[in-house]
Amino acid sequence: MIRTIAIGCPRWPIVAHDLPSDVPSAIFFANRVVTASVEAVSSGVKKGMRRREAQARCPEIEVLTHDPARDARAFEPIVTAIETFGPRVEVVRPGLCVMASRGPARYFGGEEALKQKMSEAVDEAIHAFRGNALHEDDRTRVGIADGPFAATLAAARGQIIEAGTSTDFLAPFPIRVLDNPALCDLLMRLGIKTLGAFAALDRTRVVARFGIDGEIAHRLASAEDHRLLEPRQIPPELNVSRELDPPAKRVDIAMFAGKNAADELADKLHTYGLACAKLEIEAETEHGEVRTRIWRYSSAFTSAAIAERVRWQLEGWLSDGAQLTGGIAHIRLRPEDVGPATGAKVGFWSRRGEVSDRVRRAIARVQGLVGPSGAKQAVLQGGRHPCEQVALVPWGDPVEAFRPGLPGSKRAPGPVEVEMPVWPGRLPSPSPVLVFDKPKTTDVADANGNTVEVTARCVVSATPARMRFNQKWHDIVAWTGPWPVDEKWWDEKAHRRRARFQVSLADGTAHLLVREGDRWYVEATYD
Amino acid sequence: MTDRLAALLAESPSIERASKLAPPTLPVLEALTTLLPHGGLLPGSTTQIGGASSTSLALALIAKATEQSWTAIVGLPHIGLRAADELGVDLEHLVVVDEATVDVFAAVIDAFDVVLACPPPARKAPRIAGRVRERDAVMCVLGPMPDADLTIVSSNARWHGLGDGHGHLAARTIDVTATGRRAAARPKHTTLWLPDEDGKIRTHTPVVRIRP
Repeated sequence: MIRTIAIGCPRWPIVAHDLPSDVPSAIFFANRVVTASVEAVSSGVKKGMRRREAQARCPEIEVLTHDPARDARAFEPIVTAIETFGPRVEVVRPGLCVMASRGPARYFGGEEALKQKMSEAVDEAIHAFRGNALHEDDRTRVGIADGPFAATLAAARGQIIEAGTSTDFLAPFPIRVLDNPALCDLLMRLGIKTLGAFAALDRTRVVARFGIDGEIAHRLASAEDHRLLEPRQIPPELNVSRELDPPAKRVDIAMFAGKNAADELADKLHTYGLACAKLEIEAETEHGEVRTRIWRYSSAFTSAAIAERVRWQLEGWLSDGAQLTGGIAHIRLRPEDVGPATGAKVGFWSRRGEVSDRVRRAIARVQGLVGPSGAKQAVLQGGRHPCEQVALVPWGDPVEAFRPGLPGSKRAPGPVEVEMPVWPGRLPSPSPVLVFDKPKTTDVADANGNTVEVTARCVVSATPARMRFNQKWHDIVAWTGPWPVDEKWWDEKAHRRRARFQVSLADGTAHLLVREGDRWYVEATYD
Repeated sequence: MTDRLAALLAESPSIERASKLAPPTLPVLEALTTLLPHGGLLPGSTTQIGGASSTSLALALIAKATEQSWTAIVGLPHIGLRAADELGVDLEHLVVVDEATVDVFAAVIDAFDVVLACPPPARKAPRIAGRVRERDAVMCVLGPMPDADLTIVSSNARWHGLGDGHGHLAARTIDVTATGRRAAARPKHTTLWLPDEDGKIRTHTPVVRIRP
């Protein structure tokens, strides 16, 4: 087993933001906390918490947006500093690198000395770009153990694990460190709570029950390097390179070639029935400077994941950190750790894995015609108005609701069951079938032809008798309302006060009307 | 001779005429099966849907098929997908494309089993219909579609649950008529709850009072 050193920068996305260490802050994605700063954690903010709850616990919290590309860009100088210790640094994600440690440890006089020197060098590199001092708990953590997985966990505790004892070191860790929520949830419910308990199972049986996902997890738990699943001699024709003429100084231009190369690499791997777990990205400038970086991935790289890593890396190099003197003239992609593609992506529990190639190709074509946001997927979310109850996500983005709380149901989707409060004040079902994102203006009149008004106390001035729709007046046969909606009264700019009405007309159609200010609108139609 | 053939057919129920064998269709909700010539959505066919409450009817028509088949909604940016979910459409197999150019139609028809779309430009409609036939897709058009295989028109929509300043829209009944070509030449009628008070779609059976 290869001795591996892992270098982890805790809470990297926060550190990269360069805020003073006494300011509580957190990164949010889809309204949930992704990473919280030390200061925020001490006020009770936790990962996965909703934004409003986090703000309630810690009112002065700084809300930062989730931007992995920026994190990767900021991490580039750190990796450069780590590279001075030895070749072939592998970036797992922005904020975490691994590297084979045998050579460097010998050179620097032992693993302890290497660990010491490494953390000093990385801290120095972080200080070089941060104006503010680093929080004590955010200091770089270095760990050495057998294999990347054990080394990463050792790094979190800043430990050096003796060669051959990594299995014992891993045994007491909770199963959720495996970073495979679906599998971990299932194992937890089966009563397997630690890595030790999981590693004690017979591997053949684990494979039979959980497939390739289970095998990878089992290898990790037994401190065996999963990336060496049948390593192969990599045929040179798998390498992909692109010339850029003229050399590109901007990321978007370099990415044209980068994306293209990423797709070609994915295609080639697919043709040979292979998958790669590591990717070497190399760029050469017009002045002959060469930069190389290795990225590793938890399972097999997909085409989108390759393109994403290439973009991050090019951004990192083209920002000031890499000190390149010219534009990028050549991009090379080399897959490493290539093994047979065993379909590791799809587990037994996958519901979305069944997208056929035909559909995927058609959507790619549509996106090529009308832009990436042209093809959308819908996901239900919480909200009062039917327009708010559905989030439309561009195809390819993670399908996640922006707001929690499913309309009309009490449980959130996903394996972990959480009690979800139902949104109060939502419209009763059936929901309107036509929803206008820009409501159409209309008029509603009483029997004498005067406009129906709604007072500040929500009293209707007269019974609505007629409404104008598509330039024609229609008789109202039945109506209900007003249903007052007073939203965001705490925010001066976003505050809206409305009264909703349902009306049904003589021709059998029904509409959702809204009175806002002194205007009437048709918000939706029950067609 | 004919008598002997009839006798033979009667003796062996496994022998059936090819014309009697139902072609493979995509499933629809039970209440709608009586409307459709083969009891389901026929691959390679176009259907035009019109009249009041046509949008709900179209969503109800494709609802059952979306459980198994990938569905695209093209050029209908105002469709309330929350309502679609309530009518039984599986959002996990749904892709929404707001633009409706001929290229988009072509790409979508090539890959998706079910396409719910706005009316295509009249001049391009025959080509699109041809493509649907060739690719064995099911295309439902909300509005006029020249030479559609099936025409479904809803009428006489009545809402229930709404009073004079109280209650809320709860249930609706509509009359539906389906006509078309070939097997669907004879018009079929039904009255539907779309939806009933429990949000279900079912056939409306009028209450007949029997005098004591």
